[in-house]
Amino acid sequence: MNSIIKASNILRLLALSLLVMGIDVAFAADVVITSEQKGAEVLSLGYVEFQCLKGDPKSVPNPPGTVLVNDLHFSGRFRVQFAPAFDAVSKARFKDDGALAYLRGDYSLENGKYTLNCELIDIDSGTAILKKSYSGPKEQLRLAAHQFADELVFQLFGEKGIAQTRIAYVNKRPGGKEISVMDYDGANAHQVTSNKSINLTPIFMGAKDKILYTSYAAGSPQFFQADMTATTTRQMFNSAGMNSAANYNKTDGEIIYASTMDGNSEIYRRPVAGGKSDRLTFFEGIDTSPSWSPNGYEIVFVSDRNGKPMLYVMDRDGSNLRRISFDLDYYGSPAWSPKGDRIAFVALDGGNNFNIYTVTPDGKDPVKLTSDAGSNESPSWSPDGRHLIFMSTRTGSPEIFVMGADGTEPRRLTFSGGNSMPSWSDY
Amino acid sequence: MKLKYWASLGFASTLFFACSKKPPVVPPPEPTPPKVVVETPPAPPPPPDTMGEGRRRLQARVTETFKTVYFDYDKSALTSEGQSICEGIGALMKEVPSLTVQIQGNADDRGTNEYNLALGDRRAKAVQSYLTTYGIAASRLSTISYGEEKPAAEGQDDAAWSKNRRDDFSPSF
Repeated sequence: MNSIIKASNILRLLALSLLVMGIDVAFAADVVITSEQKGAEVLSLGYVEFQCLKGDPKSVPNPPGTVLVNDLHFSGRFRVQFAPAFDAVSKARFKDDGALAYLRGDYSLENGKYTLNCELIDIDSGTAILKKSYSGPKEQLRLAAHQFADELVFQLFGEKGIAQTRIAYVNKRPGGKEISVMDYDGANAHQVTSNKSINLTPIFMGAKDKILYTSYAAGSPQFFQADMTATTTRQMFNSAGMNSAANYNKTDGEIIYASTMDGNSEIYRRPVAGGKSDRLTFFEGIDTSPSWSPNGYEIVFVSDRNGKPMLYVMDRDGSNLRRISFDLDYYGSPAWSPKGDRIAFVALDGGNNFNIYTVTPDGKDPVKLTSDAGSNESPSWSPDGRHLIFMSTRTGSPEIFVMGADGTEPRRLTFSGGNSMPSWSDY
Repeated sequence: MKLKYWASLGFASTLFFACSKKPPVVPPPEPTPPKVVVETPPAPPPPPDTMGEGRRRLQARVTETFKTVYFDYDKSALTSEGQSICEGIGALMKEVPSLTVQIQGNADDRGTNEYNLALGDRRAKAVQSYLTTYGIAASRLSTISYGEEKPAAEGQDDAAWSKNRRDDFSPSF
């Protein structure tokens, strides 16, 4: 693997793209642009069809160029212009669209292995701004395309990309509900549990190959951990009562969760490495669905202590409690954004269908992200905070969808029916 | 009871071999003894008599008494109908000290899954609390919640929802 990056070229590209962006922003006078809003910083890139130099391109499910372009579109950071080859015509088209650089690449498939070469080329000078080569087992060609997509996001925007992230979710199967995982774009889905019991609310714990979920496999709902590299599952710890709705914070390596171990559904905090659980709530009502602020200082959760399920925020030790929701009938499933600036949640506004909203952590500036599209539940943030994954019944059966953090471009990821409770991995 | 079952099976197989010895005059066909046993059992083994008459009668009373308790939307308080079912359960459990029960709380699917798990738990505990107040030892009453994960009826209407907001009972004695 080699990498050639010309810093001066990237700076030039960035400076020009910022200029273009500045003009865009100036014209959009009525729109308040937040850092998460898709379309706010869109960079135009040309794309010349990747060539298969050796082997049968049909022997891989998707050509790497297709995977890459899909990633770039999905990221919301790029607008891609296609061309079969780089010539005077395509050059003019790329430049008309505001592109300063284009992508080209080739790949080979031989003896069950792949090699992939990707380049970002300065349109005017023809020099490579970024060049990367990958090789490995053929099944990992798709992953290599994702890696290059993330490399482009990192080099051109200075932020990590999400093309290598994964989604854990619940899949209804004969005999029970099982945990499955898939790539963030819906590819590579596979089942993690097969105990024919009820398995719920999966979350990733730090690494992309460790999943924590609630399972009835041992009778009462308990936490189990699936290690996908070893394809094993084991009970994480045993607790009286019903244990569910875990949420992990990597800063302190702690989970918060709901348990009825003391009789009533309360919120508890516990180090993953082991140790005791600290009880954080002390009210007769239902307390559940806790979600960490990204720095681990605060917790948002659901409580019906004042009659209806509402959102509350408390400090990590349970102190400084305040209610942040008031207007709608029923609030649930809060999820604090990775940047800490918004909380996504579901609410009922008359009717029986949930919609997804976001607010600031003090309950201000509510934005409704879904409407008139079935019931929309279980929002979970992408690690870069630019997207939300969620369950929707808009097509009839529960399926996993993804949308921009501003509700734009909803896109369906599953098609088998009975898919719910999606949770996005870390990078 | 199990002993009895095996004993009767043993008796049946003795009978069978006794019979199969009968026609040895015929030239020996291909020996297929185990298959014959499977295909033509001499007599259906008598249903395992795991219950005496008294037990059977008790089972009938248990089935009749442990009726599903239904709840109002987002409520875990017992309705008057629920209370009368619980009263019957309490009376029977007092009468039959060996009777224990797992109370299984459920919710319709109109809330979030996590909240409904807790709501099902409250519904199970509402019955548990009624019964402990009635004088049944807590050790005889376990609870579990399935939230909205085990619906009794599928559908997005009042008919289905009202069937799903419930406590089921799994009694044993």
